[in-house]
Amino acid sequence: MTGLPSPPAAPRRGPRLRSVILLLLIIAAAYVVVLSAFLTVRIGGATRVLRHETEPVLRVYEELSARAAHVNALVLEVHRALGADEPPAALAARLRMSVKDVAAGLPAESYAALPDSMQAELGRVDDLISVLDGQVVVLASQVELGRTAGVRRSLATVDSLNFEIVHGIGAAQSIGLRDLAERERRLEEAIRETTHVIGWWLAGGLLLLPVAALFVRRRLDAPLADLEHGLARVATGDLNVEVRVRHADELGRLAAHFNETTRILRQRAEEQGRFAAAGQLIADVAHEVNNPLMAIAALSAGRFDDPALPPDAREDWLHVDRQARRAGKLLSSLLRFVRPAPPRVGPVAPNDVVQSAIDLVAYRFPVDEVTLDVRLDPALPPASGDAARLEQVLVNLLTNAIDAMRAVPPPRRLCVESWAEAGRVHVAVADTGPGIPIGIADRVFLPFVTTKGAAGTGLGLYISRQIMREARGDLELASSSGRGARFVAWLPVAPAADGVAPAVRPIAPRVTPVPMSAAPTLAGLRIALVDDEAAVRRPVARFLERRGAEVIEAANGHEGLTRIGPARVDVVIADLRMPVMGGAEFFGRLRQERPELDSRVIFLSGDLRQLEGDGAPQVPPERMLVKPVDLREIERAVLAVAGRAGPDAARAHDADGDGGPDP
Amino acid sequence: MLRRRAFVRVVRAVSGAAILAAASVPACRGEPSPATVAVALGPVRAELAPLARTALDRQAQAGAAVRITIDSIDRYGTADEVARARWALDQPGVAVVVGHSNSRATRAAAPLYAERGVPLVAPTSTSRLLRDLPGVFLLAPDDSAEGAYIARYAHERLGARSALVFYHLDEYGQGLRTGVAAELARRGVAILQEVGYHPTSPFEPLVEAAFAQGRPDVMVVAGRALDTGRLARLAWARAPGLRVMAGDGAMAPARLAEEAGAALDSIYVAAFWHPARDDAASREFVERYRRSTGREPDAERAMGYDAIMVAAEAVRRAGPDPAAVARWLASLGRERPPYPGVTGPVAFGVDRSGLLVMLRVRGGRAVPAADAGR
Repeated sequence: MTGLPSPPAAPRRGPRLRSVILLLLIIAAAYVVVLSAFLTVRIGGATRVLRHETEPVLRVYEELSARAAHVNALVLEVHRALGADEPPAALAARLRMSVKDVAAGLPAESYAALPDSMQAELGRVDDLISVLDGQVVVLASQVELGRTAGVRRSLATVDSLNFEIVHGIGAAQSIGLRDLAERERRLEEAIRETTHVIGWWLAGGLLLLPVAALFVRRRLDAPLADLEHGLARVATGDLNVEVRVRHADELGRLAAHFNETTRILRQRAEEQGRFAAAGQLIADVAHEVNNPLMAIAALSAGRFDDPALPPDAREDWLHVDRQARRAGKLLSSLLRFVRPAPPRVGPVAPNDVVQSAIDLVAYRFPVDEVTLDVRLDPALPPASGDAARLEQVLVNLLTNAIDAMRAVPPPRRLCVESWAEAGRVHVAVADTGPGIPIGIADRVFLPFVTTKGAAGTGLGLYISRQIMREARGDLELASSSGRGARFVAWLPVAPAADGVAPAVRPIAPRVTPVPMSAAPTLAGLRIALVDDEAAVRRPVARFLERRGAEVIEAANGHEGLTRIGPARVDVVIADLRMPVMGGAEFFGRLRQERPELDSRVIFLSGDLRQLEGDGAPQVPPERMLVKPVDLREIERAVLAVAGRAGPDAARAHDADGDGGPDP
Repeated sequence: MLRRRAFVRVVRAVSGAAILAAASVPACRGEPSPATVAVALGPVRAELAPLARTALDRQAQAGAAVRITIDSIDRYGTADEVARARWALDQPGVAVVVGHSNSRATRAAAPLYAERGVPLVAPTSTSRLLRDLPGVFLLAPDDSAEGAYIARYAHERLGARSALVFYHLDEYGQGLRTGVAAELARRGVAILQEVGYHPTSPFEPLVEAAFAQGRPDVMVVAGRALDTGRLARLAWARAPGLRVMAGDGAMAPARLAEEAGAALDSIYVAAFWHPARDDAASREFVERYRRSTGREPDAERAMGYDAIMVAAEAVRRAGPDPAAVARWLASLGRERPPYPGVTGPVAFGVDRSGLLVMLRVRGGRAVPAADAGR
């Protein structure tokens, strides 16, 4: 139902590129983490041990040195005191005081951080110091008691203990130094081993690097470069590019999708090209058909204007005139539709645009047996938008509705409504067709989605919604219940200060052809009529002459300039598309040679688009008449330009005209 | 297709390994092993551990399973205490340690426990230097409190106006002596002499020189039982009837009797507990101890027993996490009521000097001094 061509078979699914990249990242992270962890454990551990465990050893080493010095000093003091003639009581007091400074051994808290062998040695030294302290106290007591033999014995014991203590402290210091040296050696060994391992580790990493680079080059870089190159070519408009599908991974599938997308775009571009050519052809045909239609209309107007014509004949000529104007109006609308003007956002009368769009597709109503039900709110405020584009949207909706209803038997009813609500102007187009299938309803505004199969482009609703959104409105599918579809387009209400622009560009006049009076309203006017189609030029000239004007005829712009020359001319009527010199160039030259005639030129053409675009002369709408045009409209325009009638008389749009299609 | 299969295999293998690794964490843990109370108490450990195990089994209360292990190191030097601490920390699931045998040993081991965050309950360590160590819970009042108690007793109950102080040149002796000396000085009791000693020193010249200063009303010995007994005997030789006072370190009636001779009757010993205490918990403990060992328990045993039991209770209540056990111990007497121990309500960081009681030796047993008569 979607109308999209079936995509080619998707590439075989391979390992997910994301998974492989994740695996690579994990490997890289593990590589770094393992290295860091190894460094932390091997070097950090050895360093920590060296730092934390060396500090207490050094502290104890210093303590031991101080303690050894103190004990030595105490023993020397004992020897010196005993050799002096100091009073025993004072000597004993001094010895006891010295003991207080030495006693209590090494701080117990230091032990835990020391090597076991050092602990044992220090424990022995501690005991010896304690014994020595006790012996010094005994010595002090002997001194106090005046026991010379006891003093000598105690002194010998103190000396002996001192020797053992000094020796023990020296041994503990040696153990401490050996321990430090051992720790230093372990640290050096750890550093050496770490350097070795890091070297191998880095070498392994360097070996893995080309593998990783090759992987990135083949699986990421090259496919991405292909895609980038492809996209760049698409950006320049080249839709024939095809990207190589290298692998069956995500990028491979992306390349396959890219190729499929460009294939579809190519198909659509070809279709769009055909549509554009058809549009141009329609525009050319419309112009070519408008001239004979104008001739028919002018000739018929000339005939039924004859007061001597019998009533039956008058009725026949009127019918001829009506059908010619109907065909002309249809062609004008077609021309306007296939050659849209640049966006011009401003206040528009939505009901006029709706009517204009209905006119455009009205020829299908009788053929397709469609009953039109129009419910337009007459008090609708102006909306802010582009009339031509809104008309394009509505024509698309109306066409879709009529197409859809062909799938169901009559009666077929097309309902068009307009209303204003909450600062918005809404226009709804509802049909009694089969409705939008449920599977497509939520995608109906996506490009290339259509319910018409191969006959549809799938772009109509997509473009229509874009147009509405560009104008700050929207297009919505209001219902698709299976009993028909209902699309609602809305635009914001225009600011009150803005004037309402005409619904679309000037169109064919909608006047009811009635016999014209024979009054010489144009008497005294000198009119130059420049048109290459004699079948048009002649009846118009005769009509103007009957109205009392003097007419100068010319078949192209060059001839027109020549014939006008310096002579008095009140009004110039010129076609646009002419051989030798077209209407636009003629107007430009005329403005140079006869500037006073700048505001006296009326254009009469089947295709007024030549007056649009950069560099085109600026001409007020009331001076642009689209073939086929009613002769009285020409008369009004001439009178207005010549300054003989009010603006109402010269207005191109007659409010009393029927405007609609003939039944 | 082959590559895809290989990739799928790799992914499955990695996922499987990750799941196994995650699953192996609890699997490796297996059944939760009981939290361990490591007892590193020295000589009394072998008597107390079975007693504590029996008590725990009998209570059969809800809570975490508790295992009690005891060390097998029979040496008691400072370095040996470090080895004992390492043994305790090597015990599987160790949540708390009960030890060590004295203040110096506890000081030597404390840094190791602090490093591992394992709390230590010390039953008889009294050094003030231990008071502020993190993770160390002292069951006994510190040496300054004990010294103050002895000095107060000497002054108030014995009417002492002068004193001689002998002290062991180790941490215990010096700590107790500091406490005694400070309180005596505060009370205006004259200290004739402070004499440091080592147990291997010849005591006779020390005593003779000290008594040359004068006859004191009391002699305080800050040392162990054998030293106290020897010094008491030597002092009595010079001053018969002299009352000798000692700290908890001397609380070993048999050893006192071994050395003191006739001076035994004059020895007063401060203690944290005595077996004649007339309360249900003490009576039950004494009974059980007697049945288990055939001997009378002393304060060191009672304190050790309380330390093991409060540590086991902490593990049972707080679980195997050492930090949680430490928090539970610290909360005793604060957020929760004290633990009802044999030696009295157990709480840490509070003044427990109320436990102290002065004992004398009668008939080979320690009895409260108040009950001992003259």
